[in-house]
Amino acid sequence: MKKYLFPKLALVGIKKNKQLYFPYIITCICMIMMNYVVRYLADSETLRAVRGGKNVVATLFLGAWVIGIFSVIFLFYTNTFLMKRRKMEFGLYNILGMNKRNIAHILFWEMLICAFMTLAAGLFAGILLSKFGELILIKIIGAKTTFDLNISMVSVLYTIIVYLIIYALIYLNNIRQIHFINPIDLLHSASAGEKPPKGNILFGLAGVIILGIAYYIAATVEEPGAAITMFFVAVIMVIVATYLLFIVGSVIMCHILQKNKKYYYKANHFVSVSSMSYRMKRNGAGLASICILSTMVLVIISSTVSLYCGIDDVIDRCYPRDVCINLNTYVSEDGTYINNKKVDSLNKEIIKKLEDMGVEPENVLSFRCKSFSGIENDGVYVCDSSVFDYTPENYEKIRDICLVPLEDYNRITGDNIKLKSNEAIVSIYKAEYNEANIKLNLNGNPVNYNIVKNVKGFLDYPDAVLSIVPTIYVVIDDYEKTLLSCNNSGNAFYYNFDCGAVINDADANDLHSKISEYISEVIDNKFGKTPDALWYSVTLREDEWMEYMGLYGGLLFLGVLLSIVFVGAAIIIIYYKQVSEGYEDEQRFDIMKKIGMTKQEIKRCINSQLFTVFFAPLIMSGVHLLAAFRMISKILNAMGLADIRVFIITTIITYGIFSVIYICTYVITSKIYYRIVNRK
Amino acid sequence: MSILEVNQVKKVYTTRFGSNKVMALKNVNFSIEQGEYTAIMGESGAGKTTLLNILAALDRPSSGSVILDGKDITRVKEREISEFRRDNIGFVFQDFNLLDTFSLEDNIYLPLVLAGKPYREMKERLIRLAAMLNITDILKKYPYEVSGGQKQRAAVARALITEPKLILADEPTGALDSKSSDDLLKSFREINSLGNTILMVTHSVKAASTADRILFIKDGEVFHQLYRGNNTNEQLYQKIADTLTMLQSGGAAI
Repeated sequence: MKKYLFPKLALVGIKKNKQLYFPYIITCICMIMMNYVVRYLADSETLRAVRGGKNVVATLFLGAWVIGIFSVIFLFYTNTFLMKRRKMEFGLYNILGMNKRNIAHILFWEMLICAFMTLAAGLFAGILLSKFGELILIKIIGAKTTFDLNISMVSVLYTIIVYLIIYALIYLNNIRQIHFINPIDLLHSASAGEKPPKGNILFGLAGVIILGIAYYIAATVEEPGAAITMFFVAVIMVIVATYLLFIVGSVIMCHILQKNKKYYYKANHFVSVSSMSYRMKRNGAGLASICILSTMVLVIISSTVSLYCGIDDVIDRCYPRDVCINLNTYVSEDGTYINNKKVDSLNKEIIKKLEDMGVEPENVLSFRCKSFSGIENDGVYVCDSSVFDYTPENYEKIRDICLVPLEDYNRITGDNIKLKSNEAIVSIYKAEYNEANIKLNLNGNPVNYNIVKNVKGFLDYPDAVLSIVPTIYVVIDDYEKTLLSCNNSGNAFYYNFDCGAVINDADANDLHSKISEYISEVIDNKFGKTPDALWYSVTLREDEWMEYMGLYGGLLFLGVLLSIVFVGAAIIIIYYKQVSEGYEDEQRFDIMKKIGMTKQEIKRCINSQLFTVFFAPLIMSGVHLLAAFRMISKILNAMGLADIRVFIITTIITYGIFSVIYICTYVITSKIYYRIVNRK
Repeated sequence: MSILEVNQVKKVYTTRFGSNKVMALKNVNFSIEQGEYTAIMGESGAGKTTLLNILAALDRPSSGSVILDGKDITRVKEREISEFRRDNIGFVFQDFNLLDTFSLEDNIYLPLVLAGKPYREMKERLIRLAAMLNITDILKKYPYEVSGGQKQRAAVARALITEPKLILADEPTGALDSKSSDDLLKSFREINSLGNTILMVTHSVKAASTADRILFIKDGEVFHQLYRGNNTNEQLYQKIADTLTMLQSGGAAI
């Protein structure tokens, strides 16, 4: 009999508190399920075998970590709600003669039952869903797959170990709390009054200032590179500010409202304002968490969806031609670099080789260029790798400077422009440059060109489009002489073309290796044996498309998965908030009823209160999103998305869908709240 | 003129599964005059609280009528009942029922705020009441910061601020020490002397002895009543004590 007492009490405890335990168990099951699915996909051989799958797998490993860490935080959070309500029960056990060891024993059994149930259900659901997830993921990244259901034992073990550790930590934390409880305190805790919270003006002000700075950063950042680094700074600032504002700022606001007698002593405002000032302090953290989760979901979904939707666009812009061949050599006095004469013969030979293969190059773009990283300093772009200071504060000043020979320019454009030695044509990507001249310092060799022409979009090839840093093309006449004057520098030769026929997935690999082979032959012919100082690459649009689908598709999949987790978390937080507030307010509303508050007034009061408290996070996250919009656009732009309308539309749709889910949660949980308050 | 008439009020509770019926009030008849200070006494289970709940419109009788100032409160629609209670009845509870989230001042304002009164008018009323109940200094404090007696006086102020037709008090001294009880009862007399009608349910002979008239309830009926007449508090105390002894020893009506 005694042997089964503790497990029995534990089971009864779970059953009796099902209103609180049920959502907790569901949360655990969902977390375990998600974790298994992500982990399984990260380990999936099928996925690894797919082209572009490596990118997905890497993203998913990251995702598994995110979900794991989030599980720890979130399960701890929900568990505190559970324990708060249960302390009363344990206090009673304590008074009835159970010592704290016994209570710890009950808790242990509860933990064990809970762990067993959630792990079994979570893994079962995870295994069922994993294949489904795999199919969706492979569909998203645009590959084919066969259907076979398998279980990854490694992932099962991993999930079990991770969650057993989490449960153990929660258990230890609960024991710690039990250790400090005093049954008498517990019996009185409900009736003890509470001081109205005092909003610390300093903290509130800090919240406003930090948020202001973060918004200012988001609104003023210009360079995409700076946007990426500053984004994380801004995110952290926004998180801190949100917590400060919700916890302290709202209390201060309530105080100000209370000071305004005309406003405060109105039936609609009286009860809601005063209980809100209490509520905000206790639940400010919860509300801030909801707000941050909402914002995260909105940012994740809208950016991953727009990246994914923009892949074709990115590919079209980055890889306007099917194949891109890139040769790099060092420039040296002995002439083993790609000089003017060599370019002509290279062009001819490549065309010949391609024709041998049965490929007729169309829409050819071939040119040479020499690129430097330059930092603007007093109007001079200093291109000197030895003094290059690549620190974040210099981000905004960095430019890619690319010298292009005039011959190549004329060949590409069909013009016949002549330049003097101090004249140049410029073309700028991702920035503005409106000066009359451009000053460069090439490895200690200062040059100054008058700009005779500023052309838009004359070279559309991958490097310029993909680079985060703005690029300035400087077309000059004495290209080779200039190169020789800067020591230890290389120069590149690009040969981009369309194949004239559609390349499908199967042909792409073949074509890739063939072209590579031929190119090395051409180079051998031209330079003797391929010199050490020469390297080359062949990039196929089809390959890149697969890579992008893998990367952005993986991001999208993970984004959706994480969003489901975050939305679920927000819903659970809301649920627990409502239930625990309901218990708190039950007595309060009972008193008000006795004093003469009508049912409608109570309902109206509850609604206005819930409405304000509930929609504050949603509105706040909307504001955050609006403030971050420009910054995120810049980043997406740097990642290749040019059409920002895609982002605008997905953001609006995401916000709409999220609002609907949020409102549904609000309606359902406020009913629960109303039921608790009106029990008597 | 009677401000309150209770006619043949009967209340039957049915147990959860409907098999047992419990008669809480059998047949209660009495009336209270304007400005009267009445105490209702009786043993636990005699039906005092049930009666008070019916008078406060918190509960409805199974049959019979309760007429407050010419209006039958048992016929007031469910929707209007809270408003009716707020405007006509002031309630003082044993356990104060003050809201933690409000200062005493705001607690007292609560019924007026609900009634939509302008702040200036509320303030005027409060100043008068606070002076009378001696709580002016503690109005800004919160319920948990003051003593039980102070809390109860604030609760009395809350009951009075709407200027109700009838003040109902349910064991108002039940949670107070003797000194606070005496102060509160003194306040009750003072309030009564200003013309307020008070109906108090109490166990305490001391509390009852401050009233003008005492009704004794036993087994759901008004069993007996006492008038102060020319008796002092002490004499009335003795009479009440005698009556209770007799009631408890099972004697017949006098």
